[in-house]
Amino acid sequence: MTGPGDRWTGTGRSSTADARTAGAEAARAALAGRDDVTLLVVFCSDGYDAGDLLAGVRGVAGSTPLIGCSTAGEIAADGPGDAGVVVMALGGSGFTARTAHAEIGDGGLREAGARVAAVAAEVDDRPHRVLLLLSDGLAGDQEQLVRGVYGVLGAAVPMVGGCAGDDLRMTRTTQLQDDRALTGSVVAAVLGSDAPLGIGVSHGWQRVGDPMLVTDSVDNRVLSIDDKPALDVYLTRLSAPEEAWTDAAAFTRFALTHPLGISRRRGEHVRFVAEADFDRRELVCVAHVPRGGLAWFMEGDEESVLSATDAACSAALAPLGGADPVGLLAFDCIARRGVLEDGGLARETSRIAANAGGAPVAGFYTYGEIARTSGTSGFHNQTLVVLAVG
Amino acid sequence: MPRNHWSTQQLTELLTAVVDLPDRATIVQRSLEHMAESLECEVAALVDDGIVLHSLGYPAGATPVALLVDVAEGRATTLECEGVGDCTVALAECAGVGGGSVLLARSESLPFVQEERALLRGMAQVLSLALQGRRLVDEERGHRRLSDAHAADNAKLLASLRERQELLERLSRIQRSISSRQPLNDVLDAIVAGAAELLGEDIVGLRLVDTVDPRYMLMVSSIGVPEELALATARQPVGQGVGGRAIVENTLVLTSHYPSVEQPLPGFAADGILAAMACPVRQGGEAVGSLVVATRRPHRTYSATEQEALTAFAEHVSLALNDAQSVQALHRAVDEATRQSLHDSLTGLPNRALFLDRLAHAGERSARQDGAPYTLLFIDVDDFKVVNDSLGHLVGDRLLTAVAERVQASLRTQDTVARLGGDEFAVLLEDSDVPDATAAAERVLEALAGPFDLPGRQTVHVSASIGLVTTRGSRDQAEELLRDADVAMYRAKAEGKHRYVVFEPAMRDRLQRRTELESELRRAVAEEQFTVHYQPVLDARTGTVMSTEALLRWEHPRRGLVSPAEFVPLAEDTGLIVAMGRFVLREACRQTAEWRGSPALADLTVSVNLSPRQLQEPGLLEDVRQALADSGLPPCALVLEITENLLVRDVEQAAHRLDSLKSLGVRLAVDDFGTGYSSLSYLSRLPVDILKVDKAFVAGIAREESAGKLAWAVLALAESLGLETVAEGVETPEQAEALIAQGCTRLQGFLFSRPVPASVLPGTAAALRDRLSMAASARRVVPGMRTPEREIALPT
Repeated sequence: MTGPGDRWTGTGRSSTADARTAGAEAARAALAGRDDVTLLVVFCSDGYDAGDLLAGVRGVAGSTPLIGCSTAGEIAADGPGDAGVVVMALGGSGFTARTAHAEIGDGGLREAGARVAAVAAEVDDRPHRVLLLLSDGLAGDQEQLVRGVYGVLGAAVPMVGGCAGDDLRMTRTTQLQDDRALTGSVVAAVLGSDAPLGIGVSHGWQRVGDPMLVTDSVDNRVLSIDDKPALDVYLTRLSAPEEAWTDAAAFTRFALTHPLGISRRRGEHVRFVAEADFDRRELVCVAHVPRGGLAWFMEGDEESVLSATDAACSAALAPLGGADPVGLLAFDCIARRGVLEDGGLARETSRIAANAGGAPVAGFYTYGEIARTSGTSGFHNQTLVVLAVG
Repeated sequence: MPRNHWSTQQLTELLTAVVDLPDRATIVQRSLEHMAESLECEVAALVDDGIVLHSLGYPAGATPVALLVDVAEGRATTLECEGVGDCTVALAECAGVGGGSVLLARSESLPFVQEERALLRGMAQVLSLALQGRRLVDEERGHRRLSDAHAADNAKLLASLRERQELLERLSRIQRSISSRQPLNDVLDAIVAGAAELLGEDIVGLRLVDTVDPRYMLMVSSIGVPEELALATARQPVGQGVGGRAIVENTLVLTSHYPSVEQPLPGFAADGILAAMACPVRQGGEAVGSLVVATRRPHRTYSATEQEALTAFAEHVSLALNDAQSVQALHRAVDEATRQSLHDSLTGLPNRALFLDRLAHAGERSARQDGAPYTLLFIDVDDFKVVNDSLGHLVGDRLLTAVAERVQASLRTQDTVARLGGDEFAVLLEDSDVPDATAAAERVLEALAGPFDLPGRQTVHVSASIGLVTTRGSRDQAEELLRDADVAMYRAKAEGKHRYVVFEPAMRDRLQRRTELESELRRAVAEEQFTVHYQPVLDARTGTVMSTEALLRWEHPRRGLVSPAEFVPLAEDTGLIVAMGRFVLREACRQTAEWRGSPALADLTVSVNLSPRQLQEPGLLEDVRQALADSGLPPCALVLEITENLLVRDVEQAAHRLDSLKSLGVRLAVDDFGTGYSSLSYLSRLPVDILKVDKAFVAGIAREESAGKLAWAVLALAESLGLETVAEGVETPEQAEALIAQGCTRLQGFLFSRPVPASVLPGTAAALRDRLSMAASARRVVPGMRTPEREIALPT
């Protein structure tokens, strides 16, 4: 009987303006001269030419399996960043990995999910597996992606990942797989490991005020709450600033830190309120809000967001059974950035780094987070998802 | 949260999700996904006749078909699933696929509760209906492909299909009306109307068992019943008619010949009713009513589809009833939460929010009643903190409760007593003018005067300070009124407590001025409107300017120079003094270092006052070190002055702080010496270099008053301790002469110079020197001179 194979991770980052150079610099730092790399995970600013960046990475790392995506900001142990690239390399005989991609075609995210999920069967048998998913954050209901994957993998393989961003331009995101720079796609990597892989999820938002009834809604639009126009209830009960009543941008800024909580069997699901329909007095959320459901307005502050950071990290580390992680991957909602002003972002990344206990950390600010460990649903909003690699 | 409501929501969501799906496979897939998500299960499957029609939770190609079938058919009770482990299972029949079953499974650490199993049955029924509808569509298509000869069958199928589709749509609408919280009666009417339309019946009625007398049932909604008959049969014994039987037997009841049923409802047979069908309405399994359809058409029989449709409508009545109860429970919970949010949990009195609301209402009422007066009392328990700190929070809380009771008992029942927080209470007296209100305030003071017997055999005596404001008409802001009463209450405290004070606008003006001053002061700090002036201190022996005292001056952009007496206390209160003190320190060091560059002022030193607040600042030591380093001023040229009162408060702590400062090499002076009412012995324990004799004593010197004697005592003490002395506030030559005669080494006062701007100081020093030498040459020697060293020629 052989023991677990050795495992290592390394990260590198660069904010050099030239994409090819930045990719090469970050990859070189992540590899640190090692040649037994199994998988590369790349998170890069939307500002780079993805093809050039990929060429830079591949120039250093050869044909190592790779997935990645564009972001709304990058995360590493030494702090948050914008307009840069962070690369994590996972290597050693204790890991195995395969990657896949699927364009989001007529079959939508569900079919794309089913297609990339098939890659999970390609890795050799390891006691622990996880499917890393990076999806186009502008492609619609990401819960369908989770359903598509679940239909193929079932409960056997947990999912973790996030939706690619484009620095809040909301026009186009990029996904990377091996040599490909794609858009409108899902990329995935199945990671097999000899050691446990833990996933933690936490949002840190707290309920404000009394519960309300969603008296009318259609899909992701909330028409009325407690039989009153939803927008008016939202603005009034949260004492929104004056400009948020009329100005779309001001509203979005406010809404970023005031999501809606939907009552679910266990606790609440958080829904990001994406925009206000000032004419029809409705709220537009990023995911389905059921009619007739109980709901709460929620708010967070730096303290609650940071305590959620610790909670997500602890939950991710728990399955490691006390062993130190070899690396952490973090998928952090862009909306949480809204709460973490004035150095709060740096405090958050340093908390993640502290939880990592010196192990490398890579991650990005997402347009939606994926984590399925129990049940069948696994798409989250305004949440921090952490993968602890044991 | 109300669980039934949650179930309704899940059913509605499922129905909405599957009603328009294109094929059976998709209906099954989406339904199972929805069920798994609703109940947070990892495994879901539809099993029919030994075949797993669809499943999720297992990797593709690895579904344990035989195990799922065994579980669905009752031969096994648990499942294992990779990634979850051992699972617990819930099953429900799904008639839409023959004898099929829906199976859900999740980790055995989360067993299914009764309500979740009931929800699963409901969802399986929705799936069944959706599948049956889809099967009819498929059959119809199949038939059409085979032959047009079966047109009659097709027409029948199509009709049945339409019924199914209509049923689904109608149920969907009803569920929406339930979940969108329409009034229960409207929902029940909609169900009755839906059943009437779909089944094409003449009469539909919904009867529910009377909750007051369960032997009877009441008609709560009906369609097609002639008015007279409806009135005559509105309340009937349970058991009467097919509806009554359905309740008693708790099952679907049919008759194709109504007149021959055992206990027909009076009048219905005569009305021509021939056939009827009734389905029980259940709550928690028990029949609580029935939904009845009836027709005057001869030869009417009810098909299985129609029986199923009536059952579906009856189940929706059940859903609506459950939901209404849930909403009532929710409303009760919300009412309770609202009550709690408006009342103080300790005393049960209205809290601040409710009080302000009542106050606003009182204002509106007064405005409507031509300005009837009303009064607000702001009550603060005197020295409550002492009780709380010394006897504990429990006693404190009991005292507050007792105070609340006595205040309430001393007032009219219509008066509102509220607890604003801590030991603050407020009272609203409507229709009350000033004499009424003062009488009420006196009653409150009197009521609180008696001893309070508290836990632990503690007897406590308290008093209260009351601010009282009477007004008329609607005030824009209840908050403002409360603030006025608060201001008056503080005045009552300031006047010695245990009294009431009637608010006067002048009090508010003072507060207003203070508020304005504070904001101006903040701006002044931000905009650096401060300057430092310097008052010379002369060497009593040589008459030269040896030192200056740095004094802060505020040059207000509109008001010009503002007196320190006006702004320093406020700066102390608000903490702004710290920033201001730091400014003076830095500026004085910089300026003095600059002056020391000129030969005439090469030995000049400077004294800077430290406020009590500054002395407590952890950063003080660093501030001083930094000011010296930045300016290049030698530490020995800086004197830090502290007031005697500050030292008296906590000698040990003060000694510790002063030692730290002293370690920097600076010198320390005690300001206003002689006013601290303390033993002088502490002086020997402090690293003090200089005593400053307060000007109050200096003023008495020449007049030989007792204050003057004190000054002599201070000077003698300083001499014995080897300290330097500086006399402040020297205004007359006589004072100067007397001080010099008693050995005072430094003099400061208007006699020599007022505090002057930095630009003027060198000139002032030069002028003093010139006048000094002129006086010396004129041999105007101070009377009382005892030794040549103490000789001084005074300017006049």
